[in-house]
Amino acid sequence: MSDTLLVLIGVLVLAAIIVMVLYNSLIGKKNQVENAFGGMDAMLKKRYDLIPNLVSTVQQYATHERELLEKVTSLRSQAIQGNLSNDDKVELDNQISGALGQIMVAVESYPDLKANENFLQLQASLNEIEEQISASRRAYNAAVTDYNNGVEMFPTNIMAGMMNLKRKKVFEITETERQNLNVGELFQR
Amino acid sequence: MATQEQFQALYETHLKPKLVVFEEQRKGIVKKFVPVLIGYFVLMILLVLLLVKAYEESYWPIVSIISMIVLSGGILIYYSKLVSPYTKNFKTDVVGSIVTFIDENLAYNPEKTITLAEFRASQFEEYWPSVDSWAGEDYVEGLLGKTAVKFSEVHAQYKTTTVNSKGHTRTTYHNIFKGLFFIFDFNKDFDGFTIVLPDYAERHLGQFGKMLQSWKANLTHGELVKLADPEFEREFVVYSDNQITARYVLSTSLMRRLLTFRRQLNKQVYLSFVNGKLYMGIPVDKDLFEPTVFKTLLDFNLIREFFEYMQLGKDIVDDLNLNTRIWSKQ
Repeated sequence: MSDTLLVLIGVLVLAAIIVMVLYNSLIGKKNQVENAFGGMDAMLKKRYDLIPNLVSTVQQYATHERELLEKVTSLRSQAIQGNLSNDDKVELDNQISGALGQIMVAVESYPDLKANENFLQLQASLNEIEEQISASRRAYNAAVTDYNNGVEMFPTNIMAGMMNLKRKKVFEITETERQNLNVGELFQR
Repeated sequence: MATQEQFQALYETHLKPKLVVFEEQRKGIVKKFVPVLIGYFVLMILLVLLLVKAYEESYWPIVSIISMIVLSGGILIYYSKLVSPYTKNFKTDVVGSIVTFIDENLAYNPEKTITLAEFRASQFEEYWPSVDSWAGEDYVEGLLGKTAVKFSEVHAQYKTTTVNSKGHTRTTYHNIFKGLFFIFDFNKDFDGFTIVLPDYAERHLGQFGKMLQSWKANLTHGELVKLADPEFEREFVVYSDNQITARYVLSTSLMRRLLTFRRQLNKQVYLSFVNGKLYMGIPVDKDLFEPTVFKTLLDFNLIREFFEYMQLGKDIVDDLNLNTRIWSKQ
């Protein structure tokens, strides 16, 4: 075999390895984003499970908040329907966050409810889940940022172009969530 | 929280009278020890002279060397016998009072320590060498508000053995960690581990450092966690077995609090969150909470330093808001 042929084979093998590494790293990043979205979904489901309990407990005391409670219940049943796009899901969950925040503010005027053991436990679970949701969103954003870096940075961007991978959007804190933070301050987080 | 002024008042009214008594004991020890020390030096000089003069004689050099070793060992034993009751009483009385002053729910035991098993639970060994030698003292335990806390001075080392050309093996011990080691009951329930270490690579090497850390994470059970707070990222590197748990534990507000704490303390901090507990190491070079022997005890700065180190446990609970129990863990 001539030297040129050997060099040519060497170059080809090297090129194949480079393509493989780039391809795998991009797929890895893409899967991480999906995985992170799944993690977030799991946390959101935990919150759906809590809502009926919360509604029934609050109902017993807070007689004037029926409208608010009905709103949360209907939002929840929309959310668990399943055939929703990711964007719709996110939008619905923002609304749920906002409504739950409003309930927690309304509760302030019912001292009996605030002293109820069952309610206190629910409130603690809800705080915990909100914190977990926020953690999973940050994890999702980190995965998306990592993926976007892969899509836009050299040399993976060339590969990403060929694989037709597009930038993904990170979560932005919506207006309702900012309100949510203020509710948090009420509890002196 | 006990302030510096309150501590100064405690020092004047309560600690100083005790220190005066211990100062007398200390002077007594020095008085007894100095003549012995002078005698030791005189004998050592004589033995060295003997060694030099008679090094060609048959048995004199050996006699001289053996005597030197026996004498040195003897004086060490004598010194520790002389000082140990003084140290023990000082710790129980003075350091104990400082601990109770900080919080009466805290109990102090000068001889106990955080155990190696407790240290191992922190999983620091995933990123540090495995511990071969473990020692510690000055143990404090109690409940600060709703947060259970224990800490002690610890000293962890690992050993290396080398064989030289003559076939002699030589074992050397190297420091892994020396300083105060804390265990807190964390205010959130979680499984798995998240480890926060000072970040050297990223600070000095930037993006390339981050790549190195990510490879390093592959060698252990964890993965690198990239957090959204750039200032926090510059100071610390975070590894965890779960990206979501890591962020659940390190909430945005806790990251801020940790940064502030670390900057005020002006020392490195090592943290590990494992199964609902927070483990924290703060390196300290010197041996803490020991009374002086050859310097006066009546030194406010010395006692204040003991107070400041003992106060750290409480500072951490307050600064990291560990008593906030709004989640399901009460």
